[in-house]
Amino acid sequence: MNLQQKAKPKASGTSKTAKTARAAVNFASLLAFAALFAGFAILNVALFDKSEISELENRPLAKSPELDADALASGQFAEEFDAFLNDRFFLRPAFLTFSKDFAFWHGFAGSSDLELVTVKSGDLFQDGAAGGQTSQTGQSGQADTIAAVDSLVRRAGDKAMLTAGVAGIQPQEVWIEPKVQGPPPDEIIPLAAEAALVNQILFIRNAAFEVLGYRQASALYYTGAISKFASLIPAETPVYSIVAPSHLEQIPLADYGGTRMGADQRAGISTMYRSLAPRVIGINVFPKLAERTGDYLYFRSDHHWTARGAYQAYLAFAESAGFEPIPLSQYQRVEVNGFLGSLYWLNNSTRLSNTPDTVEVFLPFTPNEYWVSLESGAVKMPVVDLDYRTNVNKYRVFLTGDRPHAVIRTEARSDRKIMVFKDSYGNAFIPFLLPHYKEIHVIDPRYFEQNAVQYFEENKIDEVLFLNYFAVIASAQGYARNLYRVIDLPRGAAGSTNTENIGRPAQVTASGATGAASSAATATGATSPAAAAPSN
Amino acid sequence: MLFASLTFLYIFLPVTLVVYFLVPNLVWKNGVLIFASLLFYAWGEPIWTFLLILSAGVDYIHARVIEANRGKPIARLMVASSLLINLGVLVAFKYSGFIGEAIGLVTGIDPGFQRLVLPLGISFYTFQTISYTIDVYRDKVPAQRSFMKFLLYVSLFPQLVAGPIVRYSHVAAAIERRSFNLKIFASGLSRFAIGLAKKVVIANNAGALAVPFLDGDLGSLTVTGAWWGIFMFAIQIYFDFSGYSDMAIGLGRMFGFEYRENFRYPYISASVQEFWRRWHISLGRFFRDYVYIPLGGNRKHYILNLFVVWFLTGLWHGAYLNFILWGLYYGLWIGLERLTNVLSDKVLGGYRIPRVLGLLLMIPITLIGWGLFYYTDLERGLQFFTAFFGVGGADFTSTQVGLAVQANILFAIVAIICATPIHSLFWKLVVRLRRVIPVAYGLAKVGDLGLVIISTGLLIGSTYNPFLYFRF
Repeated sequence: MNLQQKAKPKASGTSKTAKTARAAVNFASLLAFAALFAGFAILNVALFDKSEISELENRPLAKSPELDADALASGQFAEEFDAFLNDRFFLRPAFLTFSKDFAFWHGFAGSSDLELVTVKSGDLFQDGAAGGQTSQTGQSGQADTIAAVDSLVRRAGDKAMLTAGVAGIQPQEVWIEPKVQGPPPDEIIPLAAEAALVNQILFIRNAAFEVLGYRQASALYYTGAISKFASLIPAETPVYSIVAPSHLEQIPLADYGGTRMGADQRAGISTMYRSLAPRVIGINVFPKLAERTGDYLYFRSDHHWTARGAYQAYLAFAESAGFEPIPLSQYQRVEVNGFLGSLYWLNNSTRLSNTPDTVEVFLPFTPNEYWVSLESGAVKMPVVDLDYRTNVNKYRVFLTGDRPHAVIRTEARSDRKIMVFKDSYGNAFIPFLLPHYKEIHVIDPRYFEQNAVQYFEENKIDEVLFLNYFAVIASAQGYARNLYRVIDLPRGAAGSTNTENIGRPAQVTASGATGAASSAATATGATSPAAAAPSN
Repeated sequence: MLFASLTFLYIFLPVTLVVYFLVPNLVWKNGVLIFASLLFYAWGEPIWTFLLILSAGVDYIHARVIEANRGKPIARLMVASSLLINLGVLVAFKYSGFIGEAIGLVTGIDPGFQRLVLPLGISFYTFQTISYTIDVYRDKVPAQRSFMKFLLYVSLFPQLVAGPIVRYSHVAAAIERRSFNLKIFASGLSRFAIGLAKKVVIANNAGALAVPFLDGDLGSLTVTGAWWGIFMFAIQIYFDFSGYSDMAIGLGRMFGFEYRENFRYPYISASVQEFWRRWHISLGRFFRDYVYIPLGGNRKHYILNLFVVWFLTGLWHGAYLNFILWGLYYGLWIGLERLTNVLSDKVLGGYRIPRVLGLLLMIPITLIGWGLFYYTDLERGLQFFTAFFGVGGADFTSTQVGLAVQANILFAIVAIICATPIHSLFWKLVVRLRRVIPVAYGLAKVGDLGLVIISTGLLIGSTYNPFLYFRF
């Protein structure tokens, strides 16, 4: 009672002070916001990041946009300016880390074994522009874009940690063959809306897995592109298709008290193979992968398969292509430790960083020249480049990462020439082909800028392989769109796609120049790997 | 330009504010706002800026003619002509592809109309200019004599691309005269910060959480997965859209314009009618004032009026069949509610179900609505609903759903709380404790600043920033 009586007059007194206080707070908040905006502006200029590439994101940073009438009128300037500001915002790495951590504050981890985190990964599988062109900012492509970078990782050492910690898996023998016939290539219409983005990462103990989606329309759109290419080349040329399943497909979640997660890749892949034109041979890699269940076939912190995983697919390919595979034991084996891959960089989970991956490398023994086409001309590089062992993205030891176009000439006892359309899953696979082909033409349709049919004809290709991984083609359509793009590109001048002269001593002056460039590139490969490479 | 972008936050808005308050008088200030608004609009899609100016010009002239010929047949003619032009533009851009598809489906002859890229905000600004012309015709507002002032009304960037659909009568006074007020300005900043956080912190995250379930392989979608996914979409669309309206209201206040509320916590509704009085209020009022009531409201051919209004409401949201179904779905519920109320009045003495029961019933009703809304592809929509209702052999649940719920339960709870007016309870408590008012007020302001910084971090951390209502 007393209190109330006391409080009353005081309250009416404070109401005036409260008003003044509130006005003061208003004014202060105005100043604070002004300070925030001005401060950020000043810091942005003061701490301007001049670097060309983002180590953290493993991609080139957006360049300052050029102002001209065309760019303004088309809206391109605006787009580039937004990208520029996004990329160069001060403390960007800190903000990125914050936003990754934020995903973990949404709730609780599951049991100690299983945890699911949703990452905001709109750019993960997104393709830049609608027309299938790669985007300006170098953000195009798919999962590879995110693959990333670190140099402070601890060494793994413990062999037991190399596998996903999974034992006693019974390989599933059933190969489902649903009766689905794909529409003929000409009738395939791309979906109006871009298909799903994959954005869930599942943790099982110390391994991370992408949870993948599946859209039948997208899958058939992709196989339609393969069939279309096949229809444009001679009927006797063998055309193969390998769709590689992702890591999660190898893990029976029931062993961890769970049910299937994400797409049924086995069913999806067999649907895709069934929809291919009859002349295209779809290669089932499941049995070969299953033979080696428990081996280190996929990375735990990265979305790629390992060279061992790729080798199993190579065994399956050898059966279809009709050559005798080289036993793995014939290769010299090298280990590159301390690899933290893309799935780690999406969320920085300590589940992964405490036990980094090891990249196993099987050194090719077939004498060869690997010519990578860069804007400045062809550059010779090693097929397996151990200089990348110090790179954050150590998967780039294989073929030095994704290149728009490259030719491998070997001294193999063969006169066969193969053309491989691939995404980054092809990088670990292709080195195994060296003993079997005279020439291997490696094409990444996301960046390739020539008519692929003309290329096929002018280089007198004998076999064609499409090698992609499920995530890239089974839900989003960017990759397939690029396949159609390179099939439909206008033909260049006769002979313009011929690679015969790449690195040939016939051109004395050019050869000297590229030779110098190649040794320079090899020498500096480790320190400035992204200098000439598209985003990996 | 997007509000939720670094370019807007750290360049466009600060520069516009500084220039706006530096220039001396209203003529200059209006000029600054028009220039800024056109720049805002042209950023990214410059070519359609002329359409915006053209549309403003058409209604500016029509309204002047109507006013000069009040009561004469030419005034009527002018209204008809304005409607024809505005709706013609809207139909041409937004619905021609859809109409073509419909004709193709019915007659078997494809007229070859393409779906076009929609000019930004066209659904919003055409409705604004229509409402203006009709209001002038009805003598509710005088016609604006200055084209620049009218252009300011149409193009004002806070509401330009995503509403609310502002009536001319609500801002007419502010266009002629407005002054700086610290309290209002500060409240505008707060409102903007809250709207930004609603969009960036809640809506964008909820969107990312919905995608794996709604956009995945629907053949393997489980019952709980369907419910969780569409629940996340319900959160996304509310926070996205209302966040955008909050930002518009906040920005309006900074420049001295007071917009009406566009959302009043729709998810606490206990009936469908209540929901639509709280959801996208400016759109509901537009259809009420310019379609429903002129048709005769609930006095004559009620059923037909209901059908027309909800057909149009659905269609406004997009040129796909599913949006029409979504509109009619709500029209059906509203008709049913009215019927049961009338019956109850006659038979049960006006009994109404308890509010709690209404709230619970609204959960499935709203979620089914969003399911209809989400899938423009009817086949996928059907697949979704077979999972949602657990027919056709969908599993009840999966590890994926369990883990997703577990991993995002705090987020979901916070989002639900933020969708209710719980903060008003907080302020009631503060007011009761009198002495802490300035402290609480100060803390709230610090919180606003924090929201902007967090939103900045998340904006940088992600390019996943699609704005749902841009293309409507």
